[in-house]
Amino acid sequence: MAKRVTHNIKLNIPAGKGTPAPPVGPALGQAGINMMEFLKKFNEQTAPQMGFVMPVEITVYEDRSYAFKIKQPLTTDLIKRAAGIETGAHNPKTEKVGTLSRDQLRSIAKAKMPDFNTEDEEAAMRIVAGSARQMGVKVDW
Amino acid sequence: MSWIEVKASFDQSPEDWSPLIDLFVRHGCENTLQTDFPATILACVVEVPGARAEIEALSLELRAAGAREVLVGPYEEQDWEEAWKKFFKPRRVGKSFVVRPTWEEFDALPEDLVIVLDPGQAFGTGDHPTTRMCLALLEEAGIPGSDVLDLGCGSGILSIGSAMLGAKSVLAIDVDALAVEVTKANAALNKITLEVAVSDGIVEHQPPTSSHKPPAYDVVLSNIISAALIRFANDISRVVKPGGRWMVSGILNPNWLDVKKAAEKAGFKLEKRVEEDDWVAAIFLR
Repeated sequence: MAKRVTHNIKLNIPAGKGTPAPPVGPALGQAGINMMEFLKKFNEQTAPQMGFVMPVEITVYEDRSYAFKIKQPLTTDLIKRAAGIETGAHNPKTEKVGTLSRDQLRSIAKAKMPDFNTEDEEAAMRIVAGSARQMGVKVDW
Repeated sequence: MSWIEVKASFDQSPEDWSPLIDLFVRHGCENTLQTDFPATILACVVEVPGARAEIEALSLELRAAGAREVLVGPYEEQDWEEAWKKFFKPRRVGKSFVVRPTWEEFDALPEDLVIVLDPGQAFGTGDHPTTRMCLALLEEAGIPGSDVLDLGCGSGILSIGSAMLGAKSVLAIDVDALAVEVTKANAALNKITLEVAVSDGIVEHQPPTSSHKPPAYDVVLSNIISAALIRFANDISRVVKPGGRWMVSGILNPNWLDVKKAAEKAGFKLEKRVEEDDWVAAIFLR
């Protein structure tokens, strides 16, 4: 019989540098997870992506066992890397800080597709383009 | 330490949370927690001078990005550390060690080496395979009479274990100042004398009982992450005496071969390897 899920926790944690500071520690502690064990595993697995913030989804079962899935880096981090910028615009409506080509857009969309819950590349590209605009990055369609 | 919570609510989950998470990161909140039903994202900020202004700017940007509501308030320290402590019980590790949390009792045998521990927010409870394997391996690492360096001491569990096994000297270092404080506190709990220091490398340190230049340690212990083991392999090789040992742990199985390769390239030979739950620990001989 499948184990009952008691918690589903979605956190965003810097790769290789997870600590139990709130809200991470409390979210894990309240679910009964040994937070240091989880963080150690997270840090070990994400060390190669150091510099990115990694979304991670943790499923906790009734017997306190858990499974976690580390997702792709934030779309915005991938956009920054592709556009060669360090940060998004403060006022994205009026300020443009960089440009993404269609190819760059496609490759980010491809990487993020499993996280977006879509198998439609065009749909994933539209999501990435939307995120780019929100940070003041122009997209060349 | 007092924390301020910033929580933004949305009418529905965005297709991509990244731009919102990025706003938090830009204002210094690298850790965020989100829920889809209801659609919320929250972070906690340490109450320091300037924090309020930063939160004010973040709130404005969150509203501009479509937040229906941004709530800022004191973070309710729920009993999260306590919730987790319930599950940390005394346990036997290896042949002679017993790891006992401060808040638990244990009927030890006369020959037991009991390490009393309050891990707080540092790594190493003896509950985790990497620490457990490392502590068990410690008994085979030739610790008695040795000068020991614990690189990445965390809770101090391996340093304390080494002192109990009869190390001549133990130097415990960690990049995390909090870990160093926890190690000091745990050493005191166990009435153990350790040299403890905050450091992100090993170069400037000398074991207190050694007057000569490196190589100076009989045993180096590193229960850290593979990337750091690989990065430190050469430095460690320089400070381990010929015939001395480097004990490594914290390695996920898929990363093991890279660690082994780096160690061998730095002049170490594999002496023993153990594995549990997809984690690997090993002893290398210099």
